[in-house]
Amino acid sequence: MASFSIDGYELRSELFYDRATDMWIAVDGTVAHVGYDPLGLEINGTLAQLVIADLGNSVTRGQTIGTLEAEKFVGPINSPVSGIIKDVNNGVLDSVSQIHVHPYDSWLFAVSMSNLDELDLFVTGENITPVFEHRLAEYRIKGVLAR
Amino acid sequence: MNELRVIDFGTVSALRSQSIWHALAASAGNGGPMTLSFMRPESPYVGIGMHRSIDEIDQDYCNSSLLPIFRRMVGGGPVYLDSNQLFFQVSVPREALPMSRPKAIEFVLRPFVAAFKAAGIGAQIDTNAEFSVDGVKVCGHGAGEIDGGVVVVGNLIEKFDHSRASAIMEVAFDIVRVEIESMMRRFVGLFSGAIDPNAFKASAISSLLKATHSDEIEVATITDHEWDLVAEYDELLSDVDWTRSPEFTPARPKALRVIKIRAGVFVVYNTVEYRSFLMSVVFGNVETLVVDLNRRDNRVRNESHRTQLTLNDALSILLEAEVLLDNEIGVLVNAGVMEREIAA
Repeated sequence: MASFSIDGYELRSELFYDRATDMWIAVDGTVAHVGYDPLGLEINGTLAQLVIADLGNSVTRGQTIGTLEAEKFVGPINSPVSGIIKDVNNGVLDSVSQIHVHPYDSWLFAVSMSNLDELDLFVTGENITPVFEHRLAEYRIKGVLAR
Repeated sequence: MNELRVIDFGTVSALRSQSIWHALAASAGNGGPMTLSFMRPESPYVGIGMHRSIDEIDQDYCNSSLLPIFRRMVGGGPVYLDSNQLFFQVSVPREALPMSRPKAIEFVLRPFVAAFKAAGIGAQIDTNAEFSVDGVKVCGHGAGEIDGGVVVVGNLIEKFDHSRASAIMEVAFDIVRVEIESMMRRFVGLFSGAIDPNAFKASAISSLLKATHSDEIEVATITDHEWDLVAEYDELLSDVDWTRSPEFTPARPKALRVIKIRAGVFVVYNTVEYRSFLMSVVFGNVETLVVDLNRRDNRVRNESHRTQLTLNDALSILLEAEVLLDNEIGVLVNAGVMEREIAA
């Protein structure tokens, strides 16, 4: 497991990162465990509540799979991959604050992926650094400014 | 230049005081305009945040007091709402706001500082992101993304009914409700001077126009399509199953309860077998801690009473007395009572 940091944001080379949802996935065969990456956590603010759809539900990439609450803001949790919800991490849902301490130990849900081609939309390995730096630059402008 | 639609709905039914802005948010998420709206409910009711359990509300009291309960799609806990509160809402397409959600909320709320001042309330957004005057909360707010549109809601509290606001809360012991009301009287909606809602509205409009670099479009009402959306949200929000939403009710109800009076101020209580505690936390300090090691009914026995403790000291006392269990500390962290570092 190779861990490295960009401007204080910890990243891991073996994971797949999705710019659209600011989530990471850990792929094991056809199963993806999904969690928020450090930038996604910063965008959302301090999480207070997470609700994920029931096991067995099918989802498509980008579809809302649950809701989150952070600092009185309620928003959607969108799945970065298509497939069937195989598992939900109730330990994290019961103790949401640990996500901010251990984001990579705090997967939220697991999806049995139905379309492995979607992995091409993620960045991993040596591609993470330039893409994340670009995303970070974008966030520094759009993170605090309205259009 | 952007365009900001401004609509004053006047007085509407309790249900419509929720369904209208849900519809405006959904409209903003699907090509509708940015909208600033105002309204007040014609009759009192109770609102509960998207993710909170209905069991936090004293439903018997609400039924006997003819207070309907509506679950909103924004955050926060149970609140008592009535016609002495002027509601305001800003509905915006998601992409028009800063990416950071806390920054997005602040961007929308910041112009209302001037509006409160115009109304006669010198409120600031404090370090806990609340509108307050000398630590007293003067506005409840929440935010949510509904069908692609973001809505930030708040209220100008002209007069706050502390008694009813505490009466709607489900609590295990009467002394908890007394403490809740006492803390509300100290930290929520206390005003001595006259409040001018019209000045509030006028300033809110001009301040938001400036902040969003917008021209005002003053309209009398919303589109037919938006009224159709309102009807849809009327149906959803008045649906008993939606209001009860069992997915937000823990299968194993937690005895440990945290009642947030305002950001940074909490009343916390717990029962473990026959032991219990009641604790008031004010901006990181424990003002009152009552530990009862032999509670068998609504009376207090073997009580120890401490005042002015640090959270660390209070935590040690509670863990030693076994009225707080190790696995319950996460609840306090999640609720914002204590920082992760203190809990560790």
